[in-house]
Amino acid sequence: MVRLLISLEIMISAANINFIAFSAYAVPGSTHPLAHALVILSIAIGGCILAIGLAITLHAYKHYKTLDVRKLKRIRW
Amino acid sequence: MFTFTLDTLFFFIIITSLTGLLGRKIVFRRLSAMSATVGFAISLASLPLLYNQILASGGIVTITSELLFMRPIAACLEIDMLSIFMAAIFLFIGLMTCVYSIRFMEHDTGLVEYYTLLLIAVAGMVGVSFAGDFFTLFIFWEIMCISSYALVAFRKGKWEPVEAGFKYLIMGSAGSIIVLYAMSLLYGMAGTLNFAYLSTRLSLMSNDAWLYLALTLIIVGFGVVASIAPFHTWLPDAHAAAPSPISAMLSGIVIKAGAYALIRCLLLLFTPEQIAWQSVLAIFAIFTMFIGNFMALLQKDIKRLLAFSSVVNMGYIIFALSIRTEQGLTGGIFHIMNHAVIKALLFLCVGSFIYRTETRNLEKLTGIGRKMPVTTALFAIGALAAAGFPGLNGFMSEITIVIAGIDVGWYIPTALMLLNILFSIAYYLLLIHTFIIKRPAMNYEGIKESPKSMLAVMVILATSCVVIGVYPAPFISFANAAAKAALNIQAYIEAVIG
Repeated sequence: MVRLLISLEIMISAANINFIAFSAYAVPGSTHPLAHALVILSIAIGGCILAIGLAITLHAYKHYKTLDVRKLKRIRW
Repeated sequence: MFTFTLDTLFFFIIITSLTGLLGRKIVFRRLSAMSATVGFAISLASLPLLYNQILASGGIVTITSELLFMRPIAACLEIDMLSIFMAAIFLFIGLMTCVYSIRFMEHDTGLVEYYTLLLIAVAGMVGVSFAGDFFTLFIFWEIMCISSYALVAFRKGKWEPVEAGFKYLIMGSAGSIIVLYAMSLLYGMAGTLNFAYLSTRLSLMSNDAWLYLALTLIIVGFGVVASIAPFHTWLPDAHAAAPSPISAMLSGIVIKAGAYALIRCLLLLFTPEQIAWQSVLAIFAIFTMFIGNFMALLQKDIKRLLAFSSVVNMGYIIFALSIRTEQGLTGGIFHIMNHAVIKALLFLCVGSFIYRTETRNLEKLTGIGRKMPVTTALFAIGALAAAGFPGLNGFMSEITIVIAGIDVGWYIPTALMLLNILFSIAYYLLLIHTFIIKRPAMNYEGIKESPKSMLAVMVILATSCVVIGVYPAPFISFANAAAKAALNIQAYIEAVIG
């Protein structure tokens, strides 16, 4: 479960790096400050997602006594 | 700063958490609930002011920080008729769920956090509908999503909400991160994230592969929350596991925020001359309807059945968006309102059954109508409205979508939608039959009618179902104004660029 959350963080990093990379092209000769402001905000959002994810993981561990996400399949369709 | 409506919500988020502390000291547990209710009520009451402001300024109000330049480059709000229509729905359903929660959640702990999170979620949704650039939309979107993850997993002492909450968290955040990636691509192509500037610059570009990639990522990312068929699997779990008022909120308005984001982004950013996204979206919509209906017919759990029915209705709304005519969008936006009211009513009625009997199993709930006649009657009104019974509100919007589909010559997709409406009649009639006509399966001794404050909320929602169904003209004209505003891309651009 923790690895799933880490993968989410890697995805956010990918988008952030993309923003920073494109900011070099938006205005010729300098980097565009808008993208940097956006990236700082999106890092904060990533932190929020991680925080609530870890909180839910903690409670899942209390119920299931494991961090293996494959064991979380008690809900039947 | 933001509009008065949003400011009120933000102010009451702080006030509710503070009064919660105070309420703990003086042992008055309902104080935070009352504060949240007052917040919703004031915010809803301030919407007509904003509506008049929009009418006075010719359709669109833009709000930006005075510290920035004269023109809004980033971080601005742009409010048109569609925004105010959605905000009215969000605040109305938010108020109803808040009042309902006062009795429903009275045995739970952590109520201060509950009402604060409810306010934050609704504030996020209102912000999504007001946002004038993509990043503002994303920030409010995450505010809404993160607080709804916490609300789904609110009863953390049981295993089911925790598992459903984790599933929702992973799928929902993956969806929003995909949207973030699409935003970075759009930023790379256009150099800005303001909707107006993005729209003008993207329309000048030739249709290269990156534009297709961005479109795909946006449909997938918002589609997770809007529960388009391959990405809908979080929805039945989360709706069934959450407390009933939260199910009503999720089904009534959170997934509608996804539909709103799709309407706004697809109409503004991707013109049909550039990319023909309509037919792809229509295929997705039809697929969504069929999946939802087949799964709903198989369910034994009443809340999962209603959740799959929400998937079906999102299919109708996405189908209406894919028609992309004024009439089709009117039907879709009108259906957003009707479905929010109907599904909130149904989930709250089921919440009352759960409150009294503590079971969600359809077989155990058989014949509950003999013990809780008023609640069951209100449930029957909601079920008939959702099944598209003429004279109730669901019928009006569905017929509008069907007529719009026939008008553009999409005979086969429209026929498939009609087939799905007939399907949904089957299981709603089955529900009414189970609750009212069948003999009780077990003895319900000591089960009384639901409490008065809960009944009052359900009566208001059921009355609005009937009123919208019998006298739909003002609501349709409001939805039509919203659809016109959504389609009038030129006015939206000119309000910012000038």
